[in-house]
Formats: sequence, structure tokens, C-alpha cells
Amino acid sequence: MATQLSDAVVEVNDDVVGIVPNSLSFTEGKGEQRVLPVSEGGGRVSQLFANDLESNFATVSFSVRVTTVNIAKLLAWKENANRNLVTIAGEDPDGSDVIRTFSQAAFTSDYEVPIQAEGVVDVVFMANAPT
Amino acid sequence: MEHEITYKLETPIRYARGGEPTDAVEVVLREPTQEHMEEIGNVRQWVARAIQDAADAGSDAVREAKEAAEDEAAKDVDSDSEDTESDEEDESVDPKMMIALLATSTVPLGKVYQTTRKLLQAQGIAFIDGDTKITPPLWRKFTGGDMEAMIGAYIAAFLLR
Repeated sequence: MATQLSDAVVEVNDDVVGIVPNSLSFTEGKGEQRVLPVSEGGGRVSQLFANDLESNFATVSFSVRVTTVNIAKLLAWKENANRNLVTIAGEDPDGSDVIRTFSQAAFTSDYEVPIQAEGVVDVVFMANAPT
Repeated sequence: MEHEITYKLETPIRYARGGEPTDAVEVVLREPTQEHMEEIGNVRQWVARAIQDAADAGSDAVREAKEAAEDEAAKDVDSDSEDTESDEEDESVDPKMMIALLATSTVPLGKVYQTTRKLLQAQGIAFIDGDTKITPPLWRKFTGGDMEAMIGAYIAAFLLR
């Protein structure tokens, strides 16, 4: 019986990051594609497949709680520009796993740090398509 | 006395460098600081006991270890001299010999490993490829063989005398 994968280890630059549960998601960096019709006359329409390369970047999103350690990490990721490496590794109880490595990851948003009882910071990395 | 040594990994590990996964080939290990005097003292005492055990048993290993320890204490501090550098190379104890010496003594080898590993993992001691701090996930990637050899090399370089 398959089990929903809801738990994964997130490492940024070989450092495990504690994230808010159920906040992690990623894209494969395959981008968006379009299927365009081409008329060949006589009612014949064939298909033209187009890959929008502008969207061919992967993203990794998660949230972190506001602690002094995490505030320092956020700043370091920001200062690294696009020289971060993000790894996600998740395994289900049957032993099958999902591992993705995102190179040249950049933390691009101008993030806000809420100094609140349940404050979280949403992190989005844009990176090369994972291997 | 050397202030750092370079250990070449037998099994390279992957780590993040400049946003790319890269294979680490060597680890730079620096001499211990005063932050860990208890660990330094314990390891030095265990090494001394191992040397004594081997002397009592008449082992050749102890002669080499004792000579290296005596020469370390007596040699010229001028590290610019080429003769001194070549002397250092000739007189250093082989890390595998150091581990063998400890393993065949009454010293608790597991505790030696644990204590020396704690020293290696202290701030400012071990760096991959000379400049990258080794995080806990990276430490877990080293093989047992490499970890053992690094411990042997560290003891031989900094904790023998």
C-alpha cells in the first residue's frame, strides 16, 4: 500500500534545515510547454510542441521558524547569491526514496522576518533543474 | 611544530562548493586550541600509556613512537629551514602505526576515537579542501576508514608529545 510522502530532509549547503511541517514543495524545473495548432489546409491540423525555456528553472519552497540560528542562515543564503546547493531527500516506509539536488540555487525574495510568537519566513529558492 | 596537516581522503565525499556538488579530496586539520584541554590531556595520556604498554611488551612500534616524541620535543623551532622540514617528514609517526599501537595496548580505543573525533569536530579545526567548514551531515559522509586514518594522523601530528 503506497504512503503519502510528507516528510523529507532539507539540506542547504550541507547543513540540515529544520522546516515548518507540510511547508516543503519543489518543482522539477521542466518548465511550461505549449501545444500549438498548425493548419495544413483542408481541415488538417497538426501539432507544434513548444517549450517555454523562460520557465525552465526549478524552485524549492519551504518555511522556517524565526530563531536566531535561522535568521543567520537566511542571511547567509542571501549573501551566497546563486551559489547555494539545496538537497531534498524523502523516503517512504517501504524504502523508496526521492532525492533531488538543486545547484546554483538563489534565494531571491526580499524576505521579511516577523518577530512574533508564531512567526515564519517563507523561503523560495530558484535553481537549476535538479539531478 | 606543524600547525596544520593535510589528510588526503581515500574515499572522496560530495559537498556543496559555490552552489555545485563537488568531490572533496582532502581535509586540512589544524592543531587543537586551549578550548579542549580535557580532551587533549586524555588523548595524550592514552598515547603515553599505549607507548608504555608496547615498551613493556618489547614492541618495535614503541621505539619509533618514542623517538618521534623525543625528536619533536628537541628539534629546532626554525620552520623555515629545509633540513628541519625534511627531518619532520622522516621522523613523523605513520598514522596507521599509531592506530596499531593504540589498538594493541590496554587503552580503550573506542574512547580514543570518540575523544579525538570530538577534537576534530570542534570549531576551527577541520576544513574540507582547506576552506569549507565540515557540517554534521558532511561528517556523517566520511567512511570509517577515512575517519580512523584522520584520527591516527591527528594524534601523530599534534598529540604525541
